Amino acid sequence: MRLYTPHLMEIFETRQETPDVKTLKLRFVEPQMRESFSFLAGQFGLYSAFGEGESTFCIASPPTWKDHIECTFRAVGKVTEVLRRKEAGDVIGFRGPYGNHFPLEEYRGKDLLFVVGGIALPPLRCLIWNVLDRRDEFGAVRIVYGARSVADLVYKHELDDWAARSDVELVTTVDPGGETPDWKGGIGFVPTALEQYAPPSGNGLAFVCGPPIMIKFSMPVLDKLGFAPGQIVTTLENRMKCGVGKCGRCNIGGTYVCKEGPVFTARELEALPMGSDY
Amino acid sequence: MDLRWTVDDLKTWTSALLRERRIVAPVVTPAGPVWAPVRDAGEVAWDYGRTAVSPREWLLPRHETLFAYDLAANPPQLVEAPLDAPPTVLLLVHPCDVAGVRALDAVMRWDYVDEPFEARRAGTLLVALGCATAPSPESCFCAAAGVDPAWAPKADVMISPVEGGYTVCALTAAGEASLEGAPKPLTAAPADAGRPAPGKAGTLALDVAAAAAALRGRFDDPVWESLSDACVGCGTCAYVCPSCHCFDVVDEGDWRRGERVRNWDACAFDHFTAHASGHNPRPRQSLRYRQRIYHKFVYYPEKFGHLLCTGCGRCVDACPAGMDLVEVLQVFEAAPAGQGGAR
Ligand SMILES: Cc1cc2nc3c(=O)[nH]c(=O)nc-3n(C[C@H](O)[C@H](O)[C@H](O)COP(=O)(O)OP(=O)(O)OC[C@H]3O[C@@H](n4cnc5c(N)ncnc54)[C@H](O)[C@@H]3O)c2cc1C
Ligand code: SF4
Ligand code: SF4
Ligand code: FES
Repeated sequence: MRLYTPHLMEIFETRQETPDVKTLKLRFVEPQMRESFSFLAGQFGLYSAFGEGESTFCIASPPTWKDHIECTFRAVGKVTEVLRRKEAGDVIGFRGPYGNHFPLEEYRGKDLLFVVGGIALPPLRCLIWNVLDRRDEFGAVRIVYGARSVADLVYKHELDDWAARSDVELVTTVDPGGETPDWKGGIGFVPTALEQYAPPSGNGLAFVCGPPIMIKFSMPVLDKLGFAPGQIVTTLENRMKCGVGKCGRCNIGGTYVCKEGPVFTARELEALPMGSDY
Repeated sequence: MDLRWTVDDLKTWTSALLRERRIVAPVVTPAGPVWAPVRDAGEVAWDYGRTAVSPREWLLPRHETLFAYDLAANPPQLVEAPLDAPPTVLLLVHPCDVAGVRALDAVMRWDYVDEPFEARRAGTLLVALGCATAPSPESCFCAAAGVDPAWAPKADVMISPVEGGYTVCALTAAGEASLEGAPKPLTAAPADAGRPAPGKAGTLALDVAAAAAALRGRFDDPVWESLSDACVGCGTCAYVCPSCHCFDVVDEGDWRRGERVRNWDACAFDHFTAHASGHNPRPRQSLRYRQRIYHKFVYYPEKFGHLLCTGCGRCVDACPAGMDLVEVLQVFEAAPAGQGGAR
């Protein structure tokens, strides 16, 4: 099959995470793809809603779950709006995996801190589950996750799972005014919650994903906690069409996010012209 | 023995080639020369100057179907478009446009092979025609961009205009095979050292390498605002260019049946990088124009070792707003880095 031809995937389960965020659980239609498909945490794919086109999402499930993949997306435009209306039994297209990945082997033995806002959890959820499925190989797993409101938290049932585990430290928070009467988590913005939580940096890594404003205010906090730019990792979302370095769309300076990304350390980003427009 | 070919010799050879392959060559139209398939050697414009649009569409078409889908079928079906690659000769390609093909090759083979491109590329024989004089003396600057107007090293066959005719040499085995039974003998391809001195094209005072080097360090320079003042974002510069390759992928049809196609696209368009959220990392025309210049003279050369501009000068002549790439490069050449911001 050629580069731009997607594989058909059947949706076998869906979950409405928030009013406009949905998760699709997908299985390849071709039996041999079910056998042979493999990917690494952090990679992405192009998902087809035939008739509208393709959208780029990370693979939100870990490579340790062999029988299926998941994607979680917010309905923001044409393709995602159509994908949102898909239900179990519907068929969509997928091509990938593309892009680089989290170098998991380099993380072995280290403490891992996840700082996440809103809909940005999917790319890190892939990594979190990958780590939890190989729990012995890593140090502390600490998660700071916030959203605008309780309704905007994704993977709510998994947050409960993580909270119940003794080998995960989970801090959840919602923006002031976004709480409900029975909300047990914190109230405040993610950078503030991170500052109060104040996890040690050591030789660990911090994974930061979220809206630009959250990233902007989390960086100085991580700096204060002792995380060097080489210890801070994020993933980028530039507009893509081909996903394979040919359509000329996703570059920041000379760096093609689809090929050299989407995973970058803060140190790598410092070399890119990102402060201004690019 | 006289190794010079006449136009009649070229026609005889072309007629022989036409028996087995499609020939795409410059033909004269009321709107000037364009690239088109010919049925007869007599249709070829042997001395054609320069086409307004490069021949790249014969390798990367403006519009092409990638596959058709039928989700109403049981089971749902995706049918890939046949790889549309009849054996083709691109005849009389000037060295700038051969360099354009080399630029496309690098991108389309970068890790992932773009099969539709590759199928056409593999089935295409590149026959180059050297330039004795610059087809557009006001805007050609190939020599300044590192392209020798008299020599096309990536071609299969090289036709060189000489006093009283042409010399023809084969540069590849495929080129040599195409010349079997040719009406006149071939000239041996000279070793690099024995090649005629690089020709000069155009009358422009420009050192593109120096300008490209000077661009590093001018990324945040406010000069981009004034330099791109006239640009209306029409994309013409990209459409005429032999080395531009950006494309868009879209569906035509409904949720049951249709086709996924790709179309040429251009970084000059305001929606090119716009996100669904409305955020656009290149919200102003100056930033889009800057991307065009940096892609061609900084980013691409960093990756692939040569410029993404062949100095054909088409964009200079075609721009409806009078934007002049040469003048822009001259600005940087004259006032190198150290002024303006980082990068
Ligand atoms: C590597 C990567 C991973 C991503 N992972 C996720 C994810 O897990 N969940 C999620 O909700 N979103 C993710 N996104 C963003 C997602 O791709 C866009 O929100 C989505 O494509 C919007 O498509 P649309 O067709 O509905 O919008 P439209 O407005 O109809 O967009 C038309 C086209 O624009 C492009 N586009 C629009 N917005 C974006 C954007 N923000 N980023 C990239 N391309 C865009 C797409 O190519 C799309 O086909 C990711 C983006 C990238 C690059
Ligand atoms: S530079 Fe000229 S041709 Fe190119 S987009 Fe701008 S106005 Fe159009
Ligand atoms: S940028 Fe202009 S001069 Fe350079 S190759 Fe393209 S059309 Fe020719
Ligand atoms: S998405 Fe096409 S080049 Fe990166």
